[in-house]
Amino acid sequence: LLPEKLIEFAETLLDGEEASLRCAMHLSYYAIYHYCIEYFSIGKSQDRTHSLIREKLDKLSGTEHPRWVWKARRNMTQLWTFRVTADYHVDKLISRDDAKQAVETAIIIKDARAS
Amino acid sequence: MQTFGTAMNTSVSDLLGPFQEIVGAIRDKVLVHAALRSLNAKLDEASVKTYRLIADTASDFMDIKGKFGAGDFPESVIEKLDGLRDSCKIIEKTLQDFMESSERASEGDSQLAEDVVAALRTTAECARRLVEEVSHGKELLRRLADREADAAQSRGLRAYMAYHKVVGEVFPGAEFGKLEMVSGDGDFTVVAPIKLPAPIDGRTRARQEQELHDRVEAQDPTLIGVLAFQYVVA
Repeated sequence: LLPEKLIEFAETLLDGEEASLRCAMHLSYYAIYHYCIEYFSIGKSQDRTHSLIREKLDKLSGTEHPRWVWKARRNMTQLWTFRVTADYHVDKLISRDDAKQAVETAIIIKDARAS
Repeated sequence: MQTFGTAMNTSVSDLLGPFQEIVGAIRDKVLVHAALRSLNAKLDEASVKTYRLIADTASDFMDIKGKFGAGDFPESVIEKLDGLRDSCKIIEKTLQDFMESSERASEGDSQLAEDVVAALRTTAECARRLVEEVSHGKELLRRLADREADAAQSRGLRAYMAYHKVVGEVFPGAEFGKLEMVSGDGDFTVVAPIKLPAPIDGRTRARQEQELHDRVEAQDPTLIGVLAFQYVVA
């Protein structure tokens, strides 16, 4: 399954109820997670893959990295926060706009990767 | 820090009280169950307070004003958490010993023995979970301390200041709230609430947020990706 399929599916959930919105936020994060896992050659069985991705993005330097990776760098903290809130903090209110923002952010990165 | 004191007093002394009741009540089935329920309730309460403590102290630490006056944080808190964890371990061990002795004491009344052992197992499990939660909280605070070791120079603080400066240019009328922490998967992020004067569509917000990053990146690229944002309508 290509990560962009996760984003496509996430978009279909944006008109749904809260559970659908939480799923959309979850999927948006994981689409970019899989792009990063591949780009940084991080083994999925490795511990702390989520924080490892953010650490690698944080230490990014030089000019050899494609544009989408820089976009991931600026947005991954936000996507991770959306995902953790959606998955774990069920007592916290999330809005449709939060879900829309998560999906749109994933699209921004996906489009940069495709161009 | 005051919150912590309350949690400590409650969790250690109150935990031991009901346990002593159990010891005195072992021969009476009804009293045993009542005492065990009391102990379980106290353990649950201590667990909730421990979570609250961790959240409160982390939140205090994240407070910009507090950053400059939080000299003894987080080491003192970690030490106290160690003390709480050790107390929990003692309770856990004592419960296990007590379980074994109660098995012997209840010989001849198999139903009582079964009930007591089952209830004590649940209680011991509850104490074990509390130990794990305290350990997890300690780990989280350690990471917090590592990342924010030099508060005045920290990227978190500098990022906050940089975004604070330009947020009104991208989101007119918006204001920054107090920094918060969102945790999960054993990790956390620092979140800056952005108070919007009116709702903005999420897709538009995502695009505007890129502008926010553009402006900060132009000043200092090392500050990008340090913060997350939470949009709230004032």
